[in-house]
Amino acid sequence: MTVLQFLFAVFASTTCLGAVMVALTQNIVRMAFWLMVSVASAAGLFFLLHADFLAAAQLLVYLGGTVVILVFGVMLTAGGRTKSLSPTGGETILAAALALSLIMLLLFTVGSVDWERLNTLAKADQILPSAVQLENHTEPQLMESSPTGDERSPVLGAGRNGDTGHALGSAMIGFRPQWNRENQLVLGTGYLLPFEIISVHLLVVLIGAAYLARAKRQLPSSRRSTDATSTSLLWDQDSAQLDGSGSANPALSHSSPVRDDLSRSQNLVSGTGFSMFSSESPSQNSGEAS
Amino acid sequence: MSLGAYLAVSAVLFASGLTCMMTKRHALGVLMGVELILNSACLNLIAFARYTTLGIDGQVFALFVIVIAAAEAAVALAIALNYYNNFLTVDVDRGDELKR
Amino acid sequence: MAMLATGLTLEQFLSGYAGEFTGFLLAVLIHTLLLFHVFAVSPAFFIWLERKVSGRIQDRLGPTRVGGKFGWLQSVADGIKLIQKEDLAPAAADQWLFRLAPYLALVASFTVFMVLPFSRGWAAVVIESSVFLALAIISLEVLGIILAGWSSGSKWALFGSMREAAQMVSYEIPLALCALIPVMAVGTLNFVTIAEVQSGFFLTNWLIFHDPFTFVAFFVYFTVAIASVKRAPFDLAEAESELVAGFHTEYSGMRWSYFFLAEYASMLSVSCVAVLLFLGGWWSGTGLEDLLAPVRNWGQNFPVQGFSAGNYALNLLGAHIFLFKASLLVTVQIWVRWTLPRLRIDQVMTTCLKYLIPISCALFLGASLWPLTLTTILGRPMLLGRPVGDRLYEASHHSSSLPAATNVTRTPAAQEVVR
Repeated sequence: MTVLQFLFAVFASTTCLGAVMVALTQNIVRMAFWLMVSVASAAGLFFLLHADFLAAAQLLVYLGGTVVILVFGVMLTAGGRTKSLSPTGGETILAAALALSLIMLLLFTVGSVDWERLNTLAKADQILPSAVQLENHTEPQLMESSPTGDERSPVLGAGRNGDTGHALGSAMIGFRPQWNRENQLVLGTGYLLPFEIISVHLLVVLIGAAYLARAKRQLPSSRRSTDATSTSLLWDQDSAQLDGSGSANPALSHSSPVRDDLSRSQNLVSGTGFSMFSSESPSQNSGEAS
Repeated sequence: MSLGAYLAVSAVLFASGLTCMMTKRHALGVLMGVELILNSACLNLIAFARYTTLGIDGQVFALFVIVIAAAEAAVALAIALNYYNNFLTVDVDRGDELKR
Repeated sequence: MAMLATGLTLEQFLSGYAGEFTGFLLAVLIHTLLLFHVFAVSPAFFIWLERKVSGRIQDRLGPTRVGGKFGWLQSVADGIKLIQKEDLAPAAADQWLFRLAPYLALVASFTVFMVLPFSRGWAAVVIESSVFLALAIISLEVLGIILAGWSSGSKWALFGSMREAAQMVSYEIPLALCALIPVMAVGTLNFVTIAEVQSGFFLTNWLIFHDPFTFVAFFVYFTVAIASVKRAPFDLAEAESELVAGFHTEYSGMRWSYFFLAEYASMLSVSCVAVLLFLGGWWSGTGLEDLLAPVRNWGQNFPVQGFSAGNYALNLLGAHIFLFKASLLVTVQIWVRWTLPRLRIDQVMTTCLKYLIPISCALFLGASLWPLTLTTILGRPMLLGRPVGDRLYEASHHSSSLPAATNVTRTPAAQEVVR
């Protein structure tokens, strides 16, 4: 067993374990934890695939950004009834059958394709510099002859193993040197336009998300406020049976003050918000059903 | 390691993500399934970039996928918050007003 | 893996003796143990330092009894006390996550040290995008804290973790932008290269004095770094005057001390990043190393084959200089904590979103325009000293023990195309 195989085994098994547990767990915050495990191990796989920059991006964007935002969202929305969120028995069986057949299909497909031969054909089709082909000839075509991975790569700008930052950056600003059919270096078109589009897209998303999630200034109706109170009360009565199911975190029966604390929205303050501060002492654990 | 091993891991990620999307009734749980699926696509692209002639283009696409996933999470979270504001629950099955 | 002597990593060195797989495992073990010492001993020192500094600032003496005159064993005594304490979990808590969360925070703040170079070639993991990776890992500690606050089953802990989440997600943006400014000045994401170009006299060569924008960026970075390790005046996650103890209200004993350990280790790691990016890395800034440079050739293959004693001694000196600078920055963080009052949560968010992000965006723009403007007017990209590009070229050429860091010089074909 080589080092690479060992590391692959570790990262692949944790990736799969995390993913499967995300699907199996019912508690939403534990799901977020397993998602973390899966995503972080996938970043490890990216390192093994010589994509250092993408692995770091995965850690920063997925783990540091998306998963944090997801947990944040769970906290903001965990005030209502959460008892009935787990699927019924029939649904579970159906989903398990579907998932198993899907995974069998995918694995069968992956196993039945001769990737090596396909790649050799593709390489013969695509014109590569003759020097590269000669040098690659001595080693297995599919194993370590990565275009992005080693120094004699046809993708210029990618240095030694895993150093794809420069190549990625150059491609993003529309500078992608490549070999043409006459073994000459030419500039490819690169990805400047997609890069611009995606930056505008991110800006639009930023504005759109801020608009959608903005704090509503006035109460839509008086019904909302009473609804919140009654749901909260109901929840407290139910909390004895709710342990461990759904996002049953007793502390969240008073989720509205959290939102007021952060977003300073005014709609639910009078409902369940400040009564908590006045009626309970700090030492009392709100988790115990009142 | 060979390409097939990475593709198998990616297949497991995809199947788990799809199952997650199908079975979860928590809006954010569905979102986590989507994240898993995007992650599996990412892994696929990078594996092809490493082992085939796809080259740096695969990594560029994977980078785009990561960015899109982040943007999608932000918008989906905003939608989930709005949903919660309107229905006081995050159970996606309760948003059936148009059916009635 | 760390470089031992000329171009040989510890992993390659051990593989020569023990075979590939065992050598790899041994190298991993040695690196982890060494870094764990940095990770565990430095917080003990900083906790003692914090007690002494806060004591002096408040006109007290601080610890004086344990371990002699200065109470320097106080942290050990604290540790022993914490180990003896009962490990409680509230009945309302999500037991599994509650027990797991401290380890998450601990692992995240430990992993940062993996990518930090402590001296020339002394880094556990040398990769090209190490600045990016370090920033990514720094942002992960928040996950453990959020989960801790959530799973405690207490509203005070929940408030603390909500605040932490909001704060961290916002403060990551100026943190990354400010870290990008020196990266842009050098043109690489590699810590080793960035530190290598800062050798020589500090006023001309350290990146903080590279241009006015990097100078301001250092102070913005330091402010944001204090916020990102949730130290006062930005410690809203544990604001003890409002939230009992914030996210760790329900924790006790060793699990509580893990959060403490993680916090102090993170203080050190953000300071290390600041030193590497702005304050000359492991260079003393006096040109002393240039005088000592011949020492690197002494004692080649001295104790064992493939090991260089002179090189090792100079690297050791560099590591000490590096850790000394980082400790000074940690001291400033402690000093800030005991001097400034805590902000309110809305003030914290306003500071970030309305002031720090625009300021860092302006700095980013200015830092990218500065060399262009100077080249147009003066004909050279810098006011003082030699251009970074020259130093980069030199550093990558005359130091053979520099790990293959600069791919700019390694792919001449690409350079030709650029021209």
